[in-house]
Amino acid sequence: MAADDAMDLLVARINEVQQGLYAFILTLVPNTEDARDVLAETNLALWKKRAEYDPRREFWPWACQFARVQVMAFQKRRQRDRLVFGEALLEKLAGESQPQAALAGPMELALEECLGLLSVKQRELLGQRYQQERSIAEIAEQSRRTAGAVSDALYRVRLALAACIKGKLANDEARRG
Amino acid sequence: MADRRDTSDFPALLQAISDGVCTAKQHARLEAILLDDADARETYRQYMAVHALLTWRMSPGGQGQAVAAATISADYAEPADSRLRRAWEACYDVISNYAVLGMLISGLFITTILLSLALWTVPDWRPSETEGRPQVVAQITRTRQASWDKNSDGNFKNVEMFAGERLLLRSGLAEVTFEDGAIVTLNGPVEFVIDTAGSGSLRRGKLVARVAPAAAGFSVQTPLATIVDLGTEFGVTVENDQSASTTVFAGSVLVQQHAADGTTVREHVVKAGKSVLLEPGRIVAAKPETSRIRYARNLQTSVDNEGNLVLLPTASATVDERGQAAWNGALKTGRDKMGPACASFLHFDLAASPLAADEVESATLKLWLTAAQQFGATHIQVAAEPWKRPAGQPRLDLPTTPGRYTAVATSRRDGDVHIPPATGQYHEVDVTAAVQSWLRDPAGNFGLVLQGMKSPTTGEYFTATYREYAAVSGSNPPLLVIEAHDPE
Repeated sequence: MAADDAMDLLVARINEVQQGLYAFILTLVPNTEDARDVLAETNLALWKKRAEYDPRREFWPWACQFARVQVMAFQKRRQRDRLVFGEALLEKLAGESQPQAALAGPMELALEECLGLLSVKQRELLGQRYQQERSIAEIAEQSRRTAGAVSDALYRVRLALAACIKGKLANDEARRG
Repeated sequence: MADRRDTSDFPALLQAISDGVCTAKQHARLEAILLDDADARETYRQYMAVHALLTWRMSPGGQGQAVAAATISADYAEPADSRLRRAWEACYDVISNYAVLGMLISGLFITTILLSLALWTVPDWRPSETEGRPQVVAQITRTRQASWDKNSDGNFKNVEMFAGERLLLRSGLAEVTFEDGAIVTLNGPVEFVIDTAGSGSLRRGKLVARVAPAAAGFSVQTPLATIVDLGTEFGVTVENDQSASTTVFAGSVLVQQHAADGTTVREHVVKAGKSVLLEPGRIVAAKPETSRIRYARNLQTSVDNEGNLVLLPTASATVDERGQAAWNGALKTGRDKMGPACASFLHFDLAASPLAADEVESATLKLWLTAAQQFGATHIQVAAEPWKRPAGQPRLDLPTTPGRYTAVATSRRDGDVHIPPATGQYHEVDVTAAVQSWLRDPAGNFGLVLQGMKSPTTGEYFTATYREYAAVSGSNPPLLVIEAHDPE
């Protein structure tokens, strides 16, 4: 394969796994801003090591290795901050999350359908939290509810979506099997 | 202390961590539960996966600093606020221009009334019948990023200039068209006086005069000499010490040097490609200068602080793969999820470049990126044929046929790949070879094609949106920056 083709392929591969990597990292670094930073550092690290990229190798595990290294580096930088997980938990979560995050693509398709099953109010709530990036307190103030009630409602929506996605993926698996 | 086996507080901890309000104590408790309980970890992973998907899918910044939400879903193809912002920016340019214009008109109106009152109450100030009415001898026809001194007699486009009025341009470019047909491009900072319908005085600064044969005889007065056009295009510079120089781009000029009493003491004809220095008591032939680049010969061209020639596009377009123009105020490449693939075209007119191909040290295309996917590249290619098809087909063609476009540079070379593609800044691509070829063969200048890289795995195009070239006054347009070899 020509060098330029290999680079094209690498760029395409990196592009394809962005969503999965973000999900993988967010599980380990459960803060959306921090996860975004770690993803950017992972991308940069992948690119710096482009000379070592072998198109015949499976890409996802290779990319996850880079993400894990960057998560560990982040954890070391923020050791004094008590809001980071310790190495023992990170190891466990990383090992278990890697296969799940690889399914980000199918999960997104399932999410698309599951969102359609939500009520208008539930979709509005998600829009306020994620699209408009409002805090729980802001949503509560605007909707004249308590912060606890808003947080509960969001929690239930996320759980419902998780169950819906899990069910759809299982159905797809069964149909294929 | 919470019982390690009691995980009834687990839902509240999940809520806190995903809502971004987790305390240190809650974090430690969550970590303890997750370390011990495999079921809790599975719930946590699934819950956080949904949180990640929602953040990625819906959040404007969820895909990283430079990601177009367009790649996620057509619903969020372009957040409304972004559309509004772009629309507002476009409107703002117009509104601000009109607002400034309005203020100036209002100011002029009030000034006129006050002046009329003054003239009426003080009859001696009125021009006498014998002096006649002042004649309009020139007009400011175009400007580009012009900043005028408050004492300038003219300070916006379309204003008519009377004989004797003075223009003080602090920066930017202004084009003045004389009644006799000469067109002068003032390169700020400059002080220039409109003398007659066929002459002006350059007190300091730079200008370029383009004089059609019918307007031959146009003259530019400098403190030490008068430059009389013989049907040509020439540049004049007056330094602060009143020394001057002139460079002839085409045709020839007659330089007349004055004595202190104004009489002509010396004359010298300067031909195309030649320059002379005008010093007290002498006219010195100068070497053909690379300093020719110092002049902006039209409003599409300027000179930056490093002495590089900076060109704006003379034409641009965005078309989709169906061959239909997809102009939406931006130069776009690639495809949104639901839309057709786009490519964009840019053309720079090098006719005004004073440089020959072998004088070009480097040429850099600068594109201001407004949105892009997280990874990918935009190929910058040389168009090998006119954009428009002959035989009455007005539609533009996409570069879908390999080989029709000769790649000169692609952004996937080292240093040009955007990882991630940073928006809100210029990205540079070396197009030296293309510019040199256009200077050698101007007829072969069909401009550049911007095309998103096609993924070999998904077949999708890299999507990017660059700042449009909508007007010369627009901010951050595409630029072609040409650097000349250092003078020996």
